[in-house]
Amino acid sequence: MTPPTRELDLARMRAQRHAKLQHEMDARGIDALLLLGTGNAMYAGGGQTVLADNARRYQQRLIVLVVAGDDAPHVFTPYADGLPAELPQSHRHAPLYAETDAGVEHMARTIKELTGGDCARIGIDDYTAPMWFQLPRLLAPAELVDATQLCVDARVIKLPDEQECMRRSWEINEAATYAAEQALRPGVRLNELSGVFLRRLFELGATANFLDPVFQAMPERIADGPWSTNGDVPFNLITTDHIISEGEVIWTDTVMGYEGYASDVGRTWVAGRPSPELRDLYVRWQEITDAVIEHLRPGVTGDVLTRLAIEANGGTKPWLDHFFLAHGLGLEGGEPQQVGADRGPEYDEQFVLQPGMAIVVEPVTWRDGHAGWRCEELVFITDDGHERVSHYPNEPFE
Amino acid sequence: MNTRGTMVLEEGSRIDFDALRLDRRARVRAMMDEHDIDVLMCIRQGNARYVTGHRPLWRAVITPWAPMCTFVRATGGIHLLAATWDDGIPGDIPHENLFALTWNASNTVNSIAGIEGLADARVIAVDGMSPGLAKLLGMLAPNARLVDGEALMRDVRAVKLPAEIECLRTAIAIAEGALATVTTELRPGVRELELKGAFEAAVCGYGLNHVAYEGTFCAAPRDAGSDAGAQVLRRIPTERPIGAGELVVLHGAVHYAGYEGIAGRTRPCVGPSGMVNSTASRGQRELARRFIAAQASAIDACGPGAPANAVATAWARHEAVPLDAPLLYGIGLGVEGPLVGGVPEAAAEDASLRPGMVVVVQGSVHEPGVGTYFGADVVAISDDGPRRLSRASHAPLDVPTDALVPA
Repeated sequence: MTPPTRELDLARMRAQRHAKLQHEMDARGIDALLLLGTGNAMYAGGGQTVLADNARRYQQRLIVLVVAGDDAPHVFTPYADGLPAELPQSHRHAPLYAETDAGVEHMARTIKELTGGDCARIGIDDYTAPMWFQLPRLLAPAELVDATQLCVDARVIKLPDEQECMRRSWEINEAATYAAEQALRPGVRLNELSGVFLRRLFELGATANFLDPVFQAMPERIADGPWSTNGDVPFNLITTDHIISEGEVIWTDTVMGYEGYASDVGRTWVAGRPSPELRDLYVRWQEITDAVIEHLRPGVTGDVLTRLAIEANGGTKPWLDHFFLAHGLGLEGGEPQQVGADRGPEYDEQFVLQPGMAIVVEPVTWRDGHAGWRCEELVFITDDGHERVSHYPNEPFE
Repeated sequence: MNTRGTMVLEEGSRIDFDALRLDRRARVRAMMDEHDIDVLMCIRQGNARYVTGHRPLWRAVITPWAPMCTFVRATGGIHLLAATWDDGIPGDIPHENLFALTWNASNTVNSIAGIEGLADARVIAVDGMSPGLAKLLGMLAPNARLVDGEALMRDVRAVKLPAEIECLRTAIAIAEGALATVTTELRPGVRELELKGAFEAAVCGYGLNHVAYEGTFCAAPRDAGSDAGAQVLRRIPTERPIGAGELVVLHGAVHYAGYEGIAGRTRPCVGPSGMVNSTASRGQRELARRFIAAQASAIDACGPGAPANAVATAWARHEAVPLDAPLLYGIGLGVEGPLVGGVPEAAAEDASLRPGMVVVVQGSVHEPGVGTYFGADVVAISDDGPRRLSRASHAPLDVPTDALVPA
């Protein structure tokens, strides 16, 4: 295996992403692409914004218009200082406002001006209510088509520069998670761990935090946790000011970004000394994880991975019922390629690993009465195998 | 009430969240009666939270539209998707109305199909839409007409209940407290991203777990140039170290029970003795004076019944209207309309300010060679006029320049 490169050229990455979108548009006969979804707009526009909850983001939205055959995307943003340096002046725009009828009328006029007004098919990935009710009429006779799958297809295979962003993102997240683990002791509140985590994250150069950091004190028995629809381990719950007691098992889940690329670090900690039962759960988790990761290479299908994991776990499935054994990762968070989700075995059978995919493997082992072990590991699929990106130490045992 | 804290007290919580939840729901119900809406379906966190009163896992992303929260007028039932457990869900929502997180579209179809009262709906209000779900609703509610539910909810949410204003005050106190903590870390050589991290850590110190807005912690450009479109603010924090004497914009926001509190002020980077009056320059004080005058005029314009864009006229009597950020926006369960400025003129709304509304008034003034002063204040519109909810001062820049001994 060739060792990973550590160089990063963001302008090259943006140019290659633009070319991939153009390719997908061409293959589907789409003349223009209007993107409002957080990850899709970041992918197409390359602009940085200031992260915020969705209410602020609806009002002050990054929106991108990609015109077939054009050299660059049109980016509409309230954050002009986040625009890529190489973006031509003609493609830098004041924000569009998709929240009102007047805003959508202006949006339609702008689209017509920038596309020459003769688009037959326009791909759109998300609609506000005024867009849904007004745009078809305002852009007629253009046909408005769903751009969701186009974006998924363009984003699934990661370019070398995207992989480097993800390596940096994962490294920063692991280091910040490690800093929080150093603060773990009985008497500390869970949200204090978030404070340590977030401070370290930005000291290390993170550009954004995408998820309310999860530091959850796990119940020893499922029945001790909140009621759930599926009777499985309730994770991930919202972090509170719970005061950590001696011996408690903490599961973490943190999603942050480097240049928009997410890491999704999940670890298991113990406030004190782990029980022998927990040690066994860790060992089994490690065996399952190693068995799955060892088989990650191009051509392997999802059902092979679920079988390996179940086998290594003695015949029962070692992942959460409401999540999955593994999932794709990219801009902003998880991507829709999943292994072992509730989509059914047919989905896993037709899901084939390809070079350039970024896969997070997240098995869980659990023994009621003793809690359990859950960690997430990131792996890139390479031409002839895989590259393991995550390197968090499982300290109580190492 | 004048205590700003987050802990429950022996005699009860400071804010009666049970009552607040029911009051909000009753207002939504009244809106549905008035407009003959049978079913309301929403994904937007502010809308869903207003109706439900739950505590959702916070994410900083916009996901494709789906009916995460469905409210049926005939039954009063609230039905939630992606709700695998009852943690964070009010006890008055029965377990059978919670549907697990799913990745399988047919499970979503079954969940929605099972909602009592949906099949008979004639009018469904939605706060967004996707082609797939439009098709699905066409099958599950064949007689229903879809209408813009976001506009209806915006109207309901605009006027705040007294308990909502208490939540906003608490959120503002936390945001201002965290900003004060950041000020103590402002020293030459500190990097912008470190200030952002300090803000988020301080917020967690108040018992919260995330910010509402990662915010601006940036040195202001000393000279933005004289072009009409010149950028007087840098808004995205970077690894850039802050230099001695620079003006630094500090602007962040937090959630308390979903309600957003913001704080925005500009401080000079003058080292550990930064709060000592004599260390800021005369030019910086003059800039702050100009901001305070323009901001006071803009806030004064926020009277009951005033058109929202009067704030722009009032600001413009003093200073050029900033091009790259709104001058006024509504605030409650997150950022709300109306927006004045920061959107194309053709997209501007003709909204007027009503008693009970809460808005953020913000602006920036620039002086070539000195830099930019940015500030933001939360203002409640009352029958008697505007009431400033923000408490932060403009120290150390708010000492009049004529009171200074010449250097």
